[in-house]
Amino acid sequence: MSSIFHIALFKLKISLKFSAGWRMRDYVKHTASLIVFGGFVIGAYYSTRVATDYLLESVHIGLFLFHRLLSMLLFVYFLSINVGNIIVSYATFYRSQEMSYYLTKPVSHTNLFVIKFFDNFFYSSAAFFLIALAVLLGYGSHFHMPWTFYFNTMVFMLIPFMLIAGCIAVMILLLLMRFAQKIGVRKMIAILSILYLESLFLYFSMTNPLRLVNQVWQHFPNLDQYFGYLDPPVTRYFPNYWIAESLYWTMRGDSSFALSYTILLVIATIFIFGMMVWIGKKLFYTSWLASLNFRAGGESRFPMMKMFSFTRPPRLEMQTSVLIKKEVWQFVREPSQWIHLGIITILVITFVVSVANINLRQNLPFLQTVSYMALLLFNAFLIASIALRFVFPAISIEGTNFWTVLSAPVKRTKIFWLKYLIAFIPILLMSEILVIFSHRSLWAYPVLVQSASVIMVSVAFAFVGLNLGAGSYFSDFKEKNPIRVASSQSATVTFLLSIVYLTIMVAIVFLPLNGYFGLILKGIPFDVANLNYAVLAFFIISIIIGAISLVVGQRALKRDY
Amino acid sequence: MMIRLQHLTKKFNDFTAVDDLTIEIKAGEFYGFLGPNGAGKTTTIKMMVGLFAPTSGAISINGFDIQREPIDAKMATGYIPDQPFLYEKLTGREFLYFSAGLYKMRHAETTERIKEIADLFEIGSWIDQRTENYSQGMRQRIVIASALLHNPKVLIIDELMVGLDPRSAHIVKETLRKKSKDGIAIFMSTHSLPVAEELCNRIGIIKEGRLIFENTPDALHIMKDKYDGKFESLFLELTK
Repeated sequence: MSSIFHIALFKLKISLKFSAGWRMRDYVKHTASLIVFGGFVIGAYYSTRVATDYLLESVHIGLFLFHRLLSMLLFVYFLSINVGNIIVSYATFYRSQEMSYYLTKPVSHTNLFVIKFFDNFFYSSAAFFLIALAVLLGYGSHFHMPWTFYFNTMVFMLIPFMLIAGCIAVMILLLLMRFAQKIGVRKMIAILSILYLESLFLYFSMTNPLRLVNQVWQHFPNLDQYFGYLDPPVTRYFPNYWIAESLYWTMRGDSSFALSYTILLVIATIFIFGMMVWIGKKLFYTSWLASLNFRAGGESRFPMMKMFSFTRPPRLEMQTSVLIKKEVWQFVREPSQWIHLGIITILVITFVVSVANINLRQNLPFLQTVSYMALLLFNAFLIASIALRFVFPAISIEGTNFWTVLSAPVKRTKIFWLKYLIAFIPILLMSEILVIFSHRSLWAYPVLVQSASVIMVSVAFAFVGLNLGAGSYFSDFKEKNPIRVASSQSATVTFLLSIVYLTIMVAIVFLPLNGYFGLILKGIPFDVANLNYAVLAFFIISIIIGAISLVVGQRALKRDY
Repeated sequence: MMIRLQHLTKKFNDFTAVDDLTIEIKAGEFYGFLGPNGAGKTTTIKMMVGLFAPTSGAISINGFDIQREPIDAKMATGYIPDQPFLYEKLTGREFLYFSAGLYKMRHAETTERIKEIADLFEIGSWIDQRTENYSQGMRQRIVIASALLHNPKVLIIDELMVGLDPRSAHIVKETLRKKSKDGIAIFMSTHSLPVAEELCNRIGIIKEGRLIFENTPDALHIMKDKYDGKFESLFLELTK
């Protein structure tokens, strides 16, 4: 046990140490991350407060329905933490050099497992902690709750809730590693993904928010009753339900009921944590040893990948060919890359399917413009997230191996532009696919589809340029894990710049779009020139932002390695 | 001259890592570059291969300035770094193809050379394993193989023998000796005094960024006789 505290103390000391000799870019990074996280916290607080006020005071949905919706949101939150922990804990447990170092020391494997669990949990859930706190403040302020409420809810409910999600994630990972030895990693991950999607589908089929709202609404205006009999019995075993119930009874002033759910949550956390430690004791070290074998392997078994084989004569110019092949293999053989890509693809498909069925035609011009802007922003935001996750780390993940390319007779500009093209082409395609599908209900307005198409081309150009440029400027060749690069402070700066850029987009196209909808909805012909000028202005600004970023990035690549 | 360093200086803020270094190496010459830890050996080498930009001075490789004509200079160079970092997701064979591609070698020629060089360094079936599974010595063999693949005119080596077993070390030494006889200029930084004595026909010692000694092994023999006949004693005295 003392070894846990010893290592934890040193890890804490290390994390609190600031490096000496800060440079300008360090100050920029820290300030920007403070702004971004501060902005998120304030945004989460206000939106929760506004949503709570609106639902309870304007729509009068009643405390019961409100807390059932909260329960569903908590379920999604639970899954997000859970999936995030699975991905990060794979890197922390099985890929980190630190773990290899500790395993040579006289520290029990179980203690190491516990330390790395907390290390991983706090790292991958830090942003979730902040959001949870902000949302709690927004929620509690509606009910004018005292500070003890926030403290108790955070410590005895939300943290245990997140811990349960983290513990289950690690248990799933350990079992995955155990069974992967028998059926292979890819099959195991495919099965797991299907199970996750299935459980998400089952949960929402069972809880069926629409049916619940309809059933509760039948009692209008007496919505402030307890409709617990409407809950499907199985949901009562979910920790999100316990939190929702505890909060519901707290707000109803029945502290004994609230307390019973809190105690249940704490006991469940202790039990699940204990179970995780027990499974860790049984499986961690053997799975760590087995993970060494997973890394072995040569050529891919997928026939399509044969075209990228190094042993095949190149179809392109030699340097270009080997650089592209290297990029491909580095990507497909790094599980954290393609697992994340898989998750993002599922999200994009979910978004496209959901949006395709939404009727975006509103009667009021302002409402129409706002809902259309939200759609456009969501498209752009999706591209910003993909660029941040996959393009930003593109230079850093070259890591300590980059000497091979930099000391070879290859122009650094060539390396840079190849990376740009490899990222830009798929992202451009994805942007246009998003435009086509998200505008399904607006196909009758070709002007709108054309404008959105140009806007998304601009967005793709700017975001790929911005992320590659900033990724090169802030390159960290010591960090091997692309997820960590994409969630570093430098990445936060880039994200902040992306938000500024999106604000520019709104500022430029909102008014012309509002004018367009105003006239079109009244059946008056619209002079397309106004909208075209705005889109052109945005296109030029995007080119400038993208180009400046690329120049900065290209210059940064010429720095000492 | 195949390698020419002229008044080379590298500063990191206030710290001068390499200070007005001038060295010239002819074709077929095997130059041993020695010095204590932190003397500036790796910094010099990183400037020679284009990984660092000099603060002042110039480096010419095979007649090409590394700053102004980096592609031509690098085309003639084979580089073996002190740490054999490889792209972990590639197999040894893939890495060699990748490396050859960067030097624009023809595919058929590359296939032939990989076979030749894999046999020479006894890489065996490891060549089709991902490099993340390699031992330090196997990584080093792949790095050396990749540096020799394109038949460079200049070899720049930063610590050659790290992780090599005696048999591999012997093969590498014999290969380098042959390459030197064939006219390749070799610049090798090393901590191993016996290796430097055995292989090099000129030795330079650097201390705090400055070249404090440069001579042939014959002259070195005369000098070391002034001490107890050991190169180690002379080295310790010079770098004191």
